Amino acid sequence: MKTVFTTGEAAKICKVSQQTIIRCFDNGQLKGFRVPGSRFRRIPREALHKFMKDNGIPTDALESGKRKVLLVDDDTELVELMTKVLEEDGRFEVRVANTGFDAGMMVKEYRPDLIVLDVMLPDINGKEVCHRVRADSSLEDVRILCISGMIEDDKIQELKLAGADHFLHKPFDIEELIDHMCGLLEIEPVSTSA
Amino acid sequence: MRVSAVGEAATQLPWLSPCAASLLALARMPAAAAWERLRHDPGAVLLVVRRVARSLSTTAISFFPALLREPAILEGALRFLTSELPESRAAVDEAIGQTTDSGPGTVAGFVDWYQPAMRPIYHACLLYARLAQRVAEMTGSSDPDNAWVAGLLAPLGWLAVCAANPQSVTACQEDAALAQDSVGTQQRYWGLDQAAIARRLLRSWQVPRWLALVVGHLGLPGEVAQSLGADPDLFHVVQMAVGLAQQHGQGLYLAVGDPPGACAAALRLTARDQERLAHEVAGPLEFPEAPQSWERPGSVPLLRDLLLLAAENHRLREAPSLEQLERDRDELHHALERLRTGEAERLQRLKLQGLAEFAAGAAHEINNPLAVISGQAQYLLGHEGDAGRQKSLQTIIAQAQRIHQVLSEVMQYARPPRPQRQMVDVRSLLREVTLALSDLAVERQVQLISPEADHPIQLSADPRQISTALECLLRNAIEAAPAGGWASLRLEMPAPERLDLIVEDSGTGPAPAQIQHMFDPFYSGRQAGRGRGLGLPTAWRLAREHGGEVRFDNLSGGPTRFVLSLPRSADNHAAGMNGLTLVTPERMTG
Repeated sequence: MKTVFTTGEAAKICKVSQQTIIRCFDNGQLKGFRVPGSRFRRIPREALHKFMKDNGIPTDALESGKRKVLLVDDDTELVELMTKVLEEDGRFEVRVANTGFDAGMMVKEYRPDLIVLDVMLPDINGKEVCHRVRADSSLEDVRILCISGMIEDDKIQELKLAGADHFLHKPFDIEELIDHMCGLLEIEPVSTSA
Repeated sequence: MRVSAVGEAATQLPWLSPCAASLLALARMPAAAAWERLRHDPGAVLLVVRRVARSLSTTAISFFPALLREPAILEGALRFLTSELPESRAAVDEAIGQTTDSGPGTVAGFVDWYQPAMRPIYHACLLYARLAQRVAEMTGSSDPDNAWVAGLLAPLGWLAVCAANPQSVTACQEDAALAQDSVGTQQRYWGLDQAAIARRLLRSWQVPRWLALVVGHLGLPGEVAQSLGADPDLFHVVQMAVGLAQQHGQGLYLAVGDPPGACAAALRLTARDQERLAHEVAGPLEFPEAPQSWERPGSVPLLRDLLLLAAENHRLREAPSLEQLERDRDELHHALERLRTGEAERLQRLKLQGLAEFAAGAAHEINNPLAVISGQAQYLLGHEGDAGRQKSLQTIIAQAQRIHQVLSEVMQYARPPRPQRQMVDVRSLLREVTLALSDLAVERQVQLISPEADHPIQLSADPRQISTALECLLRNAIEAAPAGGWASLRLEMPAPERLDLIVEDSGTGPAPAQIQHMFDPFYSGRQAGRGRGLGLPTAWRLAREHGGEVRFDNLSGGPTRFVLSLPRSADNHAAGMNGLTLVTPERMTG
């Protein structure tokens, strides 16, 4: 488990800007040290944990060290399978929403790194979910990977315009899905469970 | 005269003239009686065949007598007199009501077939004609009149040399070497052999294709002639006639590609039939009755007036009332056709829209469970150590992918993406497609033929879609050809702004009942091998998106041929725009 973080990493975990972290470090709100012989700031895990608790920032991301994924699909069988696979992979923390409405609520609360979004949902269309996420500036780092059983190329283009980062046809190759997720999250695409 | 000049002069003949008696018959006799007289005159037969073929678009002519009422025949006859008597040209033009000269310009070649030196040649013509007619009657494979005509004109090269240089005909015909080496002997006397002369004349005289393909290629095996487009039955009938005469030491020793045995087999002639034919060859040959001499039409002074009168009568009797009626009928016919094609278009469009909606919905409903099936199998595969079970799981995954692929193809057929046009060199598309399918061809033991044009041919099209369409057609051809057969891909430009990509194979074509369904997706009544799945419908659809079409050319007995016909530029496409783009009329005008 990672014990020391840079200001950039701390910013990602807390979902605030790197400037905020530096300011809090410099005014003593966030405890840490500088690398001997240089001015680089470093924050120990315990100090970051305390800082997050003090400021009401959810600490689960720090606790697991895993990337947060929100799976949105009304097909429970598929969701179960994907959850199982992603959890066995070990690099992801997974939550599930079965409708567009639930997805909207959970994005705010859970603040995922990545949404795997089925386009055809029973209530709100996937394109609409993309629009809503992109309309909120505090969610601009969230990546969206759309999946769907529909085939038409022009519809895929529309989704990308609405803010989707990538698209995969159903049925998909699970390894390919994970590779694309890693790509969007800038993680090395090598399975840790291997 | 130089040796080579004889053949050359024969190929320069503007036409072969009918005799005066034939033209008289044409002007005076009822059609059926006139045909009885005309059919013995090679020049008159040529006149009828050529004139009628111009006014009709049939591939073969049946029932010549009825067609003799065609005004074109009489007009053609008048043209002969014009060429014989130049001063009457204006009067003839006036009578015919046209000024463009579609007939022969200079004096046509004329032969008196009754003079002793010409008799052996004429005798051979009549023998071929009679035998061909008999074979056609026995087998019921071809129209007997067509067979007579093709038999009579089989030695066309000989006939032309008779008109151009009669002395060299006699010399060549009496040479003992002719029976052993007919082609070599003819070349020695004339510079060209009779078939070569015939082929040149067939082209310059614009003899209709059904006849030219038979007469011009008698020296080839039936299979090859058939691949060139010749009617296989008629071809074998004429070869049989020529071969039979040869067997009995008669005729002019024309080169034939298939021996009588092979022709008999192809025509399913029984041994008894062949015996009866042998009697026919040995029996006496009647010359047509009537005139004592074969007269030049120009030498009969009143003939021209008679023909003019006949033409005028013809008009007076039939023209005014008939013409109006014919015009009305044509109008109605066209209106009906417009209505029908418009309605067919509309139905087709609705059908495709419905299918597109259905396919989009079905794709979603089917792909979702597929994702679960494939996903679970992938999950199990990752945890499976047993090789046999691994293979089973891989099959499940691959088959799920296959279903997905079929759905994608249905969607491409029902609602293809709008073509992304760019200028492409068609040759590169052809190369690409041939290369992509070469493995399949090797695997199926089918020879893949794709001759390349020597200069770039530009086309405005979506290269990916046109490649897909071509691949569909060529794959269909390879899959339908028998092992050891062939499939070919080549291009033709029937007009400067159109491009035909022609895909042929040596397999059996679709049965008549299947033809109308060939472009229906998943039509289940197909014979094995040809047009499974969505290949042909997809090719058709993508061609339509480009303002073109895919059609099946029904060459009876020939290779199976599909043609992808495209406009070369997007402008032409706009003029004939169809498919889904037609739905919004304002796009057409705006």
